Amino acid sequence: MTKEVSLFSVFATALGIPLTEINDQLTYNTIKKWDSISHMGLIVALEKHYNIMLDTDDIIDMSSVLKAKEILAKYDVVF
Amino acid sequence: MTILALIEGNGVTLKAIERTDLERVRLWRNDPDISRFMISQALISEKQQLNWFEAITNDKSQQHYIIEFKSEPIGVINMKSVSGASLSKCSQIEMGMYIHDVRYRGNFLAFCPALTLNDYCFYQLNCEKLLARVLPGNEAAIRFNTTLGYEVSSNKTDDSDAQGQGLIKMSLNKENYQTHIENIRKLIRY
Repeated sequence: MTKEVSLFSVFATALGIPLTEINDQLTYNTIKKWDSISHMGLIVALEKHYNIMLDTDDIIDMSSVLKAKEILAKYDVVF
Repeated sequence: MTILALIEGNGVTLKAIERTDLERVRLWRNDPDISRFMISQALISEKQQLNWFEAITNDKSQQHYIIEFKSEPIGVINMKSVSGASLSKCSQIEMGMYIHDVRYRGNFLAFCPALTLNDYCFYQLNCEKLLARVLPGNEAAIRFNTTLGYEVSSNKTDDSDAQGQGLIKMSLNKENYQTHIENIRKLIRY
């Protein structure tokens, strides 16, 4: 599994949507299943998967899958 | 007890609305993206806004705050005593909030002002119960409130909006609040 697929898999599981629907352009609040509440579950899943602790500003700024990649790069998670 | 005009916590600042904020708040409140979730969707004129401000100034039963994040105004949050008594002496308080800034609308950030004011009501004002009235179609608000621990107390209230549709009444006691917000607090690391 590539690092990208691994990330997409975390998103798919946390948001409860098929892996095939996850791509860089997927954006917060554009689908019902990614709202402020499921966002919390997503953050917990990402932190556990990568063994990191995100700053709250990064939690707030994580507005798309692409943005998640940029933010995770700050925590040495490179894609 | 005097109701605080400035409350800081969870990365946000709540500042009591001042006269200089009135036009900004009026434009926010009249924005269809905001007003469609309000009990009254009527456009508010400058005169009505001024009258409202004069009516709430020195009214100890309600307080309205501008929410600031990183020193920028992003929305409004308010609290009103249900009985009409002073906020410092009432047991039930009705809450209201909207985020106008599109960058943060529907965002996790909305929990920050909500927790800040809820904490103030429960732990400083010693309020027993918080209430919220929500339009039936406002699923996001219902889900948001439920995450905070609110329970639907009635979905057939006597209240209704301008279109005559009933409002969902939700309530939150301190015990439910404490239980539900544990996981939210863990993610607010300011």
